[in-house]
Amino acid sequence: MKPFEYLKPSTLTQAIDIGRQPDGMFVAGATTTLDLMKYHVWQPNKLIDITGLPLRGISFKNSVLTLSALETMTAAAYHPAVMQHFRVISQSLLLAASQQIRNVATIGGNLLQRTRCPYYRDTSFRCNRRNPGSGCDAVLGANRNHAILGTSDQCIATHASDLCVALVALDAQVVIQGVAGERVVPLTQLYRLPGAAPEREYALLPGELITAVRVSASAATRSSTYLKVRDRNSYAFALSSAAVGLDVKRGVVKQAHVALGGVGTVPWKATLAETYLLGKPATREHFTEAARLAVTGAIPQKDNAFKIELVQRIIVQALDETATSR
Amino acid sequence: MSIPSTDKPTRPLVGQAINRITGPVKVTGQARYTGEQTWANLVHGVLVGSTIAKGKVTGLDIQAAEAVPGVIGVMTHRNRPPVTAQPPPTQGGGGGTVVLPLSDTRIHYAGQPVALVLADTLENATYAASLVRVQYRAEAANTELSKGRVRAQPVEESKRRGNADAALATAPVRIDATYYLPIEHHNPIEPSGTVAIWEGDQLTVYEPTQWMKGLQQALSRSFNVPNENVHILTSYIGGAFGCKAFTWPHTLLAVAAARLVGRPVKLINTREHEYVAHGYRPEIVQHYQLGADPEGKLLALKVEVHASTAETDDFFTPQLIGMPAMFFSCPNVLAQGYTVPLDYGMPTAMRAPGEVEATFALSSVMDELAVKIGRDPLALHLLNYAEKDEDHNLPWSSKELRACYQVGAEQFDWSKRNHATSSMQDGRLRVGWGMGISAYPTHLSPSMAKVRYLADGQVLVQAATQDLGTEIYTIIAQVTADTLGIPLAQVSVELGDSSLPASVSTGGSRATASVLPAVLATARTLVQQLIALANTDPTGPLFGLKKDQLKGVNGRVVSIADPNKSDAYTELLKRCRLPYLEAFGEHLPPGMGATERSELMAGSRPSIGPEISGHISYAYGAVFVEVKIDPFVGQLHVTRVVGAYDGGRIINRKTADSQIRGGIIMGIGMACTEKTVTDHRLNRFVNNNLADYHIPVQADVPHMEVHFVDSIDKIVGPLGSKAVGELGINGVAGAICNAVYHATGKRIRSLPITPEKLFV
Repeated sequence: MKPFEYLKPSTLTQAIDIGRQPDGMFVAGATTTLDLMKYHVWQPNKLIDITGLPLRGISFKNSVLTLSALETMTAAAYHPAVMQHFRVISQSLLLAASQQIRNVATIGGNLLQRTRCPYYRDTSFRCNRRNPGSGCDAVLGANRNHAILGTSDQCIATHASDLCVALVALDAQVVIQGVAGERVVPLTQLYRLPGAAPEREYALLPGELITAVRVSASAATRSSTYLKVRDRNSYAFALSSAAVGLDVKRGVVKQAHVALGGVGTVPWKATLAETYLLGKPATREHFTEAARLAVTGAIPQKDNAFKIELVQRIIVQALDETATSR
Repeated sequence: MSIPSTDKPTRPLVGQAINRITGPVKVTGQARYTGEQTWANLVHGVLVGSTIAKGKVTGLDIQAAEAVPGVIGVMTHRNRPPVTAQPPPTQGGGGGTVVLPLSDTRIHYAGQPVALVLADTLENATYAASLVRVQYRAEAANTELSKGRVRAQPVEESKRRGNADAALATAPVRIDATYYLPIEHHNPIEPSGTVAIWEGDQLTVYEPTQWMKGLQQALSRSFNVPNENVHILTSYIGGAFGCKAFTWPHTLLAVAAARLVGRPVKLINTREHEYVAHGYRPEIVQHYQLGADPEGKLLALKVEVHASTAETDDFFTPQLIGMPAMFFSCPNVLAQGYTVPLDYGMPTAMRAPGEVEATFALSSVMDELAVKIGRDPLALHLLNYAEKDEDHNLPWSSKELRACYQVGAEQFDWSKRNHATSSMQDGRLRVGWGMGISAYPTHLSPSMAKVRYLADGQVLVQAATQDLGTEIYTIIAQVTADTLGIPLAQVSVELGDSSLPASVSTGGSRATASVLPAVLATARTLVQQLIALANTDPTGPLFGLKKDQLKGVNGRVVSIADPNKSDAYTELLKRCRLPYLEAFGEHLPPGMGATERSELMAGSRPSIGPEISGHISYAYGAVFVEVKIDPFVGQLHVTRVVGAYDGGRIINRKTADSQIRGGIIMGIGMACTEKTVTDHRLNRFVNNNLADYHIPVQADVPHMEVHFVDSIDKIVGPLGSKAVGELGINGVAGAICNAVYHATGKRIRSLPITPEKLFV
């Protein structure tokens, strides 16, 4: 990898101050960063290690879960409040990566997890996300694992995270600290569709740091499921996945959360499906229709038309399991 | 199988389950692998590979790389020291490929080395390598087998008996099925690599090679120095599966670079480079046609195999047509292979090359026939059992396949199978049971060994072979300890050094059957020498007795007539003031003599098998598999595997069991997850890492039971062992596909079985 300067600030202010400069990059668990630096995809001059910052702790107060940015995936997955009130979050974490990775990868880093598109990860391929304007080798390439939702002719890379799918489903909010202070935005607003500028992946300003994620508990977060289909039974990215949460009273859906993984260029909030389900009887027939609505606008690539069918089945099964498992 | 305790082993040790003797040094990190070798003044090399598959290098800018601090040099086609190409295995040599690296500007395959950056640290070399700028003039290339088939070349040797076409035309029942297998990579956990040290014209090379004598010969010829000037060291290997069997470009480049810079060079492949460094299992399409009578007795078998190869050279594994010709009894057989040249680097042998693809197809096609006529597939296997090798019209050396079918079926509870498809369920999951077959030919090579008995009772065994990690160390120690009648703990085994007595390549599952007879012969010679010492030492208790009145028992020379009269080996050596006594010995397989002995010593690979002494020798197995499938989302779980095997005499039930389990797991990978993905527009592999290329992980590994049926092959050698290493992978993929059909009614003929193939 390219030689770099290693910095380890001890306060948030210091970190943001260094991070504002154009040649710096924050790093926490480094499970993705190290790979991408070894592949010369990222070549920061300054690597800013934020693991010395006071961004730890998991709390559950007034029905609001706060996951601090530097908590590990493992810690979050096994936290009693997460397991009890946010089943889908715990499941999404435990179905992600490997135990070894989960032990060091952080919640904040996971929100900014980069795509596994092979054309992004090898600098000898053309990639608009890595090298703006160079073209996209994935569009005509091996794209079985690529996105069918939120794509553009510039980029079809999937967002790789499982956790983010669960968080987006449950309408999580992300706490961001910057020069101008703290702001709290819906997590969905953190992610930018590739459009004409796939290199701008996240709505973060220079120096801004994610400090925490917040989610509110409800009947629909307690009764929730993450269902992931992949090419092997562990340590594989989702071919397709669904995070769902349901509040069903007397057979009728009072609240619904649905988001999709492995199919979108961003963690994909299936708003049409959620809206449709409200007030509907919790039946397979309605779940099937919700799934159909969830893939509205899907565009298959050369090798992945099956995902349109697969993800709908996953949604139906996840909703079915959630509705019947209470 | 329950493994008996190894705490207090009784005699003989051969046949028992013995813990691996290198276990402690491996789990404590003391076992040093090639990548861990350090050397004063060491230079680290990092390769730059071509990003095009075919064409020419038109520009090579190394200035920025050379400017990186710590960079010692950049080796390209402009300054590479002379290297003589070695013929590939297809031409009887030990070179992996005919493409000699950094010879000129011609590009034959993506990933072909175009530069080797040399620096004081791995980090500096890696960074500098990223700064090498290469311009190419790309030419149209093709890596698609379907497109390349117009240029298919028939393989010279075909299999033919009776008249398959005529018999097919009139057969009452016919099956016509085509089976597709993608490219797969070996993916050993230890990447290949080389540490090369020149001292004048003396070359020392550390390398995890499956064939140290072959590497020694290849390097001596490539660099024009005498064979004895080349010293290969391979203490431990972290898996190989065929990719470390031959001499590949990275090794030649490391040795050439060490000559160029006049310092020791270490070149360890990156994981990404592993996918283009040393071959792969080629893409293979097998078209099978069966003709049978209404009961399922085979009348005709016709096979046409298309296998990918490189544009630069032919590679075809003959067992692709050999297996269908030998496995079942069938009067009319025609099997023909074709090679399809593609713009890849050379393919190579990968665990059970030819056998595993053929047993996948044979297991599948027999199941298709069973389904068609509504019979139990096991009954069809028994109905078509080959009582002799009909291909060569020779008897088997031994064959306990019937026992394998019986034991495997019993242990699996096969008789409880409802043969109707989709007939078994576990809640929402569909359950399927399937079976597959395994066979692997016995290969034998000559081997030598040295056994040294030290006055303190310690014994050292030496041979210039190598351990893949499968633990030939332990079985050598078992045979030695049994023959000398001493505890296992007194035996040390030294391998992995080309200056030791010449021994075999570890490939073709030949090591056990080839090396152990040499160790046995040598240890017996040593006993004779001890006897000769005992009856000639005037101060000893056995002085004057005749040789044939004495024998070696439990570490002593003993009088046969009066067992109370004996002389312990240790006492004998001390009395004679000998620090040690040692014996050299060898074993030559039937029909081999002085020619093969000198070939072995020179680094060639004399080999016989499966035809041995007028017999055909194979190891066998039958494997039974249970799968559970969620048909709605296409998720497949292999939940149970039971296999029964005839490998001849099993020397160590524990390490043999381990080998079979590893093979089964690799078979599960082949069936369910493994595929090297090519971008056919750019003609490059894109899933070239262990996150995206899916070898099975623990969660994919089900409950497994391995059974060995009683079998000692009297033809193959004094110990009666056939082959184990490549036996376990066979039949697994076919059994899984058959189980999937049983569960769902979906016939999968194209691997791997990814979720989208299983939607119901």
